[in-house]
Amino acid sequence: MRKDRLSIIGIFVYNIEVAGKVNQLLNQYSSKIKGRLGIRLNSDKISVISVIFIGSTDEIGAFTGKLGQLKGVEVKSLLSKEAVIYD
Amino acid sequence: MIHTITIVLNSVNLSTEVNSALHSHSDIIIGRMGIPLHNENTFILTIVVKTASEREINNLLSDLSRIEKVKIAHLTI
Repeated sequence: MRKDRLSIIGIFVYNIEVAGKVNQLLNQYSSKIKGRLGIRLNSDKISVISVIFIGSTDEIGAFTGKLGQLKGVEVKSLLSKEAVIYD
Repeated sequence: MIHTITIVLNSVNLSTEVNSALHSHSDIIIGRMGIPLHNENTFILTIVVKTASEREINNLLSDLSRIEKVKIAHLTI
């Protein structure tokens, strides 16, 4: 049993060339991701992705950190106040 | 033409192949929603697609159906 947090991670992708790398990262962390929804806007130039991620604060930080380092990507996360005991 | 395609995988390993097939048609994909069900070893993905021709949707469907062990349901709106 671990104490994980619920998180909703919001991602704006302004650069279509980087979308492949974003997907790769999502794949890498797929065991932590409970769901994702992505919508393309502005004649498909902008992607907005919402991810439900359950993990420790370190894991959430590592994931959002790697995403944020990609050029043309903005990330923000919302973490639950309480630690969720998740097995 | 607007379409929805639901893709069901029985192995999370196949998701990289599905993702690269989708990426090569990314210009027609408007949105996607994916839910992995790890306990059932199933991955469900629904995409919304907008095409100007039959050819575009047929190309995408044939690329997806080429992937082994993938189930596809397609609905044209």
